[in-house]
Amino acid sequence: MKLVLDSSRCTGCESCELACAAFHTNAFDPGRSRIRIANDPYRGESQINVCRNCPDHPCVDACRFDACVYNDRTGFVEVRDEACSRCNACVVACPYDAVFLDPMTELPLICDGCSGIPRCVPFCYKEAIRLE
Amino acid sequence: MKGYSGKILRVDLGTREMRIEEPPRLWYEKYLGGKGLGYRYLLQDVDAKVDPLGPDNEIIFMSGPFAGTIVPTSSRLAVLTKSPATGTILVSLVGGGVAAELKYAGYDGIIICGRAASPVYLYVSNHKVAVEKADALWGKGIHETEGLLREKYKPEVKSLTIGPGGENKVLYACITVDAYHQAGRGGSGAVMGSKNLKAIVVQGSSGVQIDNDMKSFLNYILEIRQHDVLTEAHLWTDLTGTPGTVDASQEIGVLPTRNYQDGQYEKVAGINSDAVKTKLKRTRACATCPLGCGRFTQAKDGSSVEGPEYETIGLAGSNCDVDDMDTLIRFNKLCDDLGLDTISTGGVLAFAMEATGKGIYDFGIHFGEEEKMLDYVKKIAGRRGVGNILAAGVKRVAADVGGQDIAMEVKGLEFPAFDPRGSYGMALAYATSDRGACHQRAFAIEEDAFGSMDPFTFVNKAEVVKRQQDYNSAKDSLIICDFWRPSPETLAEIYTRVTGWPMTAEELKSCGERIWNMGQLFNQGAGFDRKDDYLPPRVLHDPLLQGPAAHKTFKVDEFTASLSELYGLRGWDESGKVQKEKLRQLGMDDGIAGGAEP
Repeated sequence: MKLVLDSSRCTGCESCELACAAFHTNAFDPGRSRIRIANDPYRGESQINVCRNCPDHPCVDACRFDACVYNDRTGFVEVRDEACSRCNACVVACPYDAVFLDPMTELPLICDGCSGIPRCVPFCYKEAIRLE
Repeated sequence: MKGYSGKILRVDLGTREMRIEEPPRLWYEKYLGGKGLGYRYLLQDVDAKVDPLGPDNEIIFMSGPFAGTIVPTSSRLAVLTKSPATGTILVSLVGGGVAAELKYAGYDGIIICGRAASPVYLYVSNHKVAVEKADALWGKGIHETEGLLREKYKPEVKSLTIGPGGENKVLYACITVDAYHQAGRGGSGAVMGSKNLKAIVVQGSSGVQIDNDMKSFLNYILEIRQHDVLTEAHLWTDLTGTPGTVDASQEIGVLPTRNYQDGQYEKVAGINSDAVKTKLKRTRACATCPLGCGRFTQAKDGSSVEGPEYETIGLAGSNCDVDDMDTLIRFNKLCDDLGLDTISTGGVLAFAMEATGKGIYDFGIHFGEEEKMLDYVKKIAGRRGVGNILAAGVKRVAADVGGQDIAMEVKGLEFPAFDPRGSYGMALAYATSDRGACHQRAFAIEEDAFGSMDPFTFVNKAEVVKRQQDYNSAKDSLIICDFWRPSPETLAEIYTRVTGWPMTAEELKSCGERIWNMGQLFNQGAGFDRKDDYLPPRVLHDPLLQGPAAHKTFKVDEFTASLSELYGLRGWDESGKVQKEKLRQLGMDDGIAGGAEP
């Protein structure tokens, strides 16, 4: 499974960021979301950025501590916080700049597909984010 | 505290004194947030007779308990002050993303008083509040200013900004968020300008907590979105956005045409939602809104804007006899950049056009003069030439040069784009709104001309107007967008889940009535009474010529009786004064009435 994005359908409501942060952190804190919307209100455009589930997982390859692991069952990468050394190698390795840093813990934020049921998807009425 | 942050930032721009206040829990419970909490502070802090453009007036920015959460349509901020246009209390609500950002920065609201000696902007984040020099921004349009502020901080910062219109204290200058979202009505931009305050930049980095178990709350909100938000009653927002109302208003004959000389426009095909669709690039939404009513359009010359909305189309289109969508897009963009309310600007221009044509006063502009209209927008914002006269708004201009018979305003606020001769419910709503002619305090037209009640009678309209004024006061305090119409039961349940404080539908309605009475107390203190709940002569005496309302004589006696009925339902006396018994019933006998107490 992977998330399929169509930024041209995004209205910029940012509900996906809130659903993600709420599910993972128990607070509506978009700064800790694993999906990010870059809104340009002046041009009326939005860009969705989230892990693209690259087939070769460069973030997993870059991690020397086995903290970034690919979950065969869900099809998403997961971060084992206790193993992470906060070296940022995964952040640098991501070709889409889709590995973010949690401002509170400094741990990498990578979309883990909410263990198989991504919470952002049902909150995207415009189907700019879909699960395939 | 959950939902709320519990903190209000207070800044005196004159002394540069800043402090953080923590309102008592009782205030949150009684006044909810947004409009209610803002009214409470205005009543406490500001003499109702204050000069709106003087340093002693306050301007307040207040969020509600849901801002920053995933509650649909909740990222709205209330801007409150004493209006320079009307002299009444003023609340104007703005969408975009600033309300959520303010919460993330750790504040429910900001209260500003005093006047800076030279142009400044205010920077607010979780760790820092600073008054910064704005000399380099002063004089610049809103879009350039927002861009410079984003460049200086980071792309995600949100700002509340004024343009040259606000700097020059045009009495219908607005405050802008995210390029195209405005606290539009009543001249709050001029109040910011009078304080030499160009902008407020907000950058937040903390989250909003709620009381409810998060996973259960997310499921509950998904349910609500599916069964109560994304439903047939609301999805016009996605299909057409507000421009869909153009054809609907045309059909019932309330589309303002040539300064309200008529209610149907023969060239409506040039300005309806089909015309907007030919320019549509994509749809847009405010933060947390699944409805996405925004229309991003582009004109032939490349000008693009999120708009034009129904009100802009009605006032600058049919009301100025302009049926060219490209011109309306350019007008919209210009007003948004210069910081002028499109409703009042359209109303002022239509007045000037009719006055010129009828030889009342030569403003040098006639109906349908598209390019000149755009030039006049710049003149008004810059207070250049005739623009300096028109910057005062229809009521004052008519008092100065004549044309009171064609001045479409109540209490100095120009009419919105629903002609009340085709909806008597709307007539009562305009006459009795707390900020002058406003369609958002009670949208009574949905129950008569757009609904099942007879639009051409005042019978039973007082009940409709009171119910909507009260309920919308609660909604504008929580704050939920006008375009989502949940039941009081639903809102009460969301409130309880978010804050953890029990709330019922009945108590929510009481909050609404309490808040409406606070507005009346302020206005009473400012000298307003029954004589100010008027309708302009054209509504009373000139019938419309086309549509369902054609040639109908307005029922002036019924209007007068209906005013008395409304005051009676409110427990006010015949002059519209709030009575002590009512204050006691609403739990407002705690000195809140202050000097305004009857």
